[in-house]
Amino acid sequence: MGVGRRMIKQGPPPPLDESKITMLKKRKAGEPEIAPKAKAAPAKKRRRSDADEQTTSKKAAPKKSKANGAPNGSAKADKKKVVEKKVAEKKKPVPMTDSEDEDEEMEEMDDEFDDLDGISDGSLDSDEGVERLSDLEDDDSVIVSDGEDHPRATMFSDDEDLSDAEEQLTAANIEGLSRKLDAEQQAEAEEAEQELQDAAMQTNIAGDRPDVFGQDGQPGLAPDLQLLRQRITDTIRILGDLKTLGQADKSRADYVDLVLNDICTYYGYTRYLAEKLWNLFTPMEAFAFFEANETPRPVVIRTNTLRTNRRSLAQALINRGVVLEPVGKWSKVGLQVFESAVPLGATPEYLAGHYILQAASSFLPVMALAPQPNERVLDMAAAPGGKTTYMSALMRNTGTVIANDASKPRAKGLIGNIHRLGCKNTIVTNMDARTAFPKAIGGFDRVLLDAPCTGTGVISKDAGVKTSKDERDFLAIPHMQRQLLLAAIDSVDHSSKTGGYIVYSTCSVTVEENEAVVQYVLRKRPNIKIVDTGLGDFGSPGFTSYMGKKFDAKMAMTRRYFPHRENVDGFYVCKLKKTGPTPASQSTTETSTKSGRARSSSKTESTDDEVYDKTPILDEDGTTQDNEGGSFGPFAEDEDQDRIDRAERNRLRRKGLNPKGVLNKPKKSKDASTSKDIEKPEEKSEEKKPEAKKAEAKKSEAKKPEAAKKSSNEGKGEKKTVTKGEEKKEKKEKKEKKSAKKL
Amino acid sequence: MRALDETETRTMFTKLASYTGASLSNLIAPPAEGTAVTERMVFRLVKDRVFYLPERIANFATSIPRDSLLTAGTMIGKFTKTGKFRLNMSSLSIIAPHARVKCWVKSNGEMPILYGSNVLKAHVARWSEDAPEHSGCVIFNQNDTPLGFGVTARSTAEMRKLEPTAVVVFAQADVGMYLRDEDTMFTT
Amino acid sequence: MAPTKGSSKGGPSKGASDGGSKGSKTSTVSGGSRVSKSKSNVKRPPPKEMKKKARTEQANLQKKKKRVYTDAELDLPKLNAITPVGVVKPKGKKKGKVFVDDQEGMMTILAMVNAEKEGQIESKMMKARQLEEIREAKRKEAEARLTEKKDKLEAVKADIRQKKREKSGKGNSDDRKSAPSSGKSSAKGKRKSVSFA
Repeated sequence: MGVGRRMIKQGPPPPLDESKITMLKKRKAGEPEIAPKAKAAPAKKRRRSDADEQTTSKKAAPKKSKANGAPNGSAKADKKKVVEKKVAEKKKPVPMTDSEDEDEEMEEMDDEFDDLDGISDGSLDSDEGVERLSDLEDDDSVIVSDGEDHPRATMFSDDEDLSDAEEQLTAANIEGLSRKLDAEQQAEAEEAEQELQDAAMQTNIAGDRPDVFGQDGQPGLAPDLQLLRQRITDTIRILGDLKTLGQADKSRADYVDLVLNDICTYYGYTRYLAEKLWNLFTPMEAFAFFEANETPRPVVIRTNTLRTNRRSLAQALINRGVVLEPVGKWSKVGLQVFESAVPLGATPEYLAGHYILQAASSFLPVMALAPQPNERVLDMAAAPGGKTTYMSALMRNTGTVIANDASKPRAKGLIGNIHRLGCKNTIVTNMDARTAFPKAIGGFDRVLLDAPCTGTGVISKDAGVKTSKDERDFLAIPHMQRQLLLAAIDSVDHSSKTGGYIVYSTCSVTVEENEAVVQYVLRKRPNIKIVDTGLGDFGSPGFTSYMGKKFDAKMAMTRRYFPHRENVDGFYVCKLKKTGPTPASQSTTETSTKSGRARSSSKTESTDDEVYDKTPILDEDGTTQDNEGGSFGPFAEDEDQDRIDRAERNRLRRKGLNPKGVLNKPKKSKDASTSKDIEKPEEKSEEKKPEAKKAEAKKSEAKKPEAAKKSSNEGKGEKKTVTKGEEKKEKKEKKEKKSAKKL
Repeated sequence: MRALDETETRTMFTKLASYTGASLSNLIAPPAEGTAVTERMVFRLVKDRVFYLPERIANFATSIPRDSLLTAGTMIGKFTKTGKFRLNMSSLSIIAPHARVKCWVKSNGEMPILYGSNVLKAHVARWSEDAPEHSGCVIFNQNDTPLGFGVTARSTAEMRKLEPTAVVVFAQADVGMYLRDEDTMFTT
Repeated sequence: MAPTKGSSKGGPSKGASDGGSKGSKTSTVSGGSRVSKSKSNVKRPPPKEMKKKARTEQANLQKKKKRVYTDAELDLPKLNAITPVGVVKPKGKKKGKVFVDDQEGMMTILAMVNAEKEGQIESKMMKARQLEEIREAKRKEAEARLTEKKDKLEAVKADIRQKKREKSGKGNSDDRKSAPSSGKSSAKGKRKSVSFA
């Protein structure tokens, strides 16, 4: 028979076309025409992706098994059905998009088997087939079906015999056989239903199985990665539908705990970081995020428009044997490189400064900033120079670009890149940006701050981030980012004719470094506002609220990028516009406190506990605390406060007053001398919250009116809290004095 | 950061003139030409490095403390302790358009140059006429991108008679230095 | 002599009187007679009474104008005041750099340098051309010599041939024929024969 049907790529059988039935019946008499027809139809199918080969081959087998029900052992068919039903169940909700394509093909396929199959047969086939096609494109199913290859091999050998058997059928046989087939099909359908139920129950058991929680096995041995991965996926699936799939005695927190532990073991994160990243997404997305961090993002290069254009560069590189294509609609200068026969960092074009290796996400802040020719622009953390040179290119070598970097060795690389790409309007400085700007130079039209960050968005590039970043980093680095951003804002000329913009960007996905920093700065500088980045729809909008913290409504105009969504490094871009001059009171006080600092701007930990730090830090709850652990030393705040409260209440009681009635105003915390009361009333009102929470455990009733008051205070806005703050301050002082006397 | 002394200026120009032709005057030509060039370019000295930059940027750079200022504009070269001027490879973008003697290199000759070796006759596609011996020459590749500069070994007439493995241009600086010498190129 | 408020005229008389008194004691002091006038002869204004001035008198209180010496008199070095632009310090120039930052200065220097360079190049080119010319000339000469030699050789050959022809031409034509042939054979006979071992 030549090649045989093994090589034929068949899809699921199409719905029957009645018009062709009679034709085929006639043709059945003439054998040889079948073979070419069979070959012709599949030839179409061959054009489909190879992924379908397996699926089609699988379908071919069951098709034949159905068609030639008699010769085939029903056992085999059942086995196949069982497998496929399981697969089908797993992916039931997948939409059947392929059905349309398949219909056409199915028709052709069906032509051959028309007389053998009943009409009902065909339709049933199509349904199942469609399911199978979409199902089998899922990765999971591949694993499942792999095991089935061997039995199928034997089936293929049967096929040739079967095909012979087919041809022997005549009109007389057809009816009987088709009836048989109908019966068989019915039985199969019932079995399929059964399987469905079983499978569903099985998955229930899988989640409910104590194994998910009791699979720790031998803790001494190395973890079984396969098992871990399976458990992670299972748990995530359960979390998606806790009611039906979750065990009764296990709460959501238990499942989350389990999956986080597994993620830590499987991917190598610290628990702290895993939890932090987990909280940013839904469970499914989080899994996709963690997975995406294991694979590198594609290599991207940017053409230097000062020396060449994208087309000629692409041409030149293709001539050298580089496989590339434009990176996307969102950029006119980016090229994505798939393969390269030559090292990209050493081609003559690279050395001549025609392009630079730059991550796609690094294009975005410069595109958002959009520096115009003849402007004065500042890049506060410029090394290694991709963004600086892009800005120069956009400005066509006019205007002035000041590229600053606090680290001298990195600044040297920056110089190299600037010269190589032919930027003539750049000054490179090596200063601490927090103090230098606007002190050394100010009045810029635009400022770009690509702040040093924890790097949670570039884990795929640097896996060390998984383990090296801890809680302290997430306090120290956002603090530095705040200072830098304030300096950036103060360096901009609000009355600039063409500019007045600041772009803040980080290569991180955590909220502490992104939205929280912007929110802080919005509060500190009433003369700025968030504006649209100009990047269009590319990317996801920033969060307007997160874990209890609420951000400005315009935060949605900022843009977030994720490795699993846009296939670029994790990134955050926010564009701000300065609308007025900096209020005098704020600028002087804050810059004076920052001037004495000597922190490194790299991603490593800072170690300057001894320096007075007056800028408030947002703790994990989003509330600010005036008390930094470092500057105060180990005061046991809560206990002291409790004591004070208790003493206060005691005093009132001794006096004969009702403490609950009198204490209707929220207490102040132990403000140290460092806090500036007038400027930071909100922090005080906010920090009363944690105190209220602490005291709640003891005297919930007394605090409730206070808490209510507090929320109302915050709701009223800044002005009211200022006055309230002052009032509170006076009251507090009086109370403290009294309590001191009493004690 | 200061302007150049008279002797320094002369030394520098002498060096530059050995590679460029009469159009060197375009480097400091007055800006009013009606073209895109709108500002006056000047030379500035930082310790011993010479930079070529627009006047406006030079004025900006004066407000930055000396220790923090690393680069301004384009670095052309350095003065040695004895007062001689050494051209740096980053000056290529400045002298290439005004080069007097040019040499075009075939594609098989590009890579040796990027590694820093001299140009052999076998690599040369064409070169300018009437070049005297030991004159400054700028090396281009077939796409007219400058690859480096050096000194001619022989005059044009003699070059014709040379055998293919003879050196035609002694390479002094090439673009490959961005990779080979990136640490030392821009430091004082 | 104790100061006495007397006129100076009393001086000599006193001296004389002293001498006189001395002479009375010892007559050997002076032989000559002294013209001594008695004090009463000299006319003197009557001694005036000089009043002492008050301590706090106005004249005393007012500061007395002291003499002001100019710098030049006191030999002080001149102060380094700002010299206005354009004024050049005449002698002993200060060590300092003259910056060339203006357009004209740079252009001047540039022009000079260019001129120099071009001069150098010109000279180089000239030299090269000259060398080339010399070489060409040499080559040509050598060629000419070669051709000359060749011509000479040809001429000699022709001569010999002609002579031979004349000789044999007088004699037999056979001889002529034979002569050259014999000549040839003799020439052949004279030829060395190399035998290889």
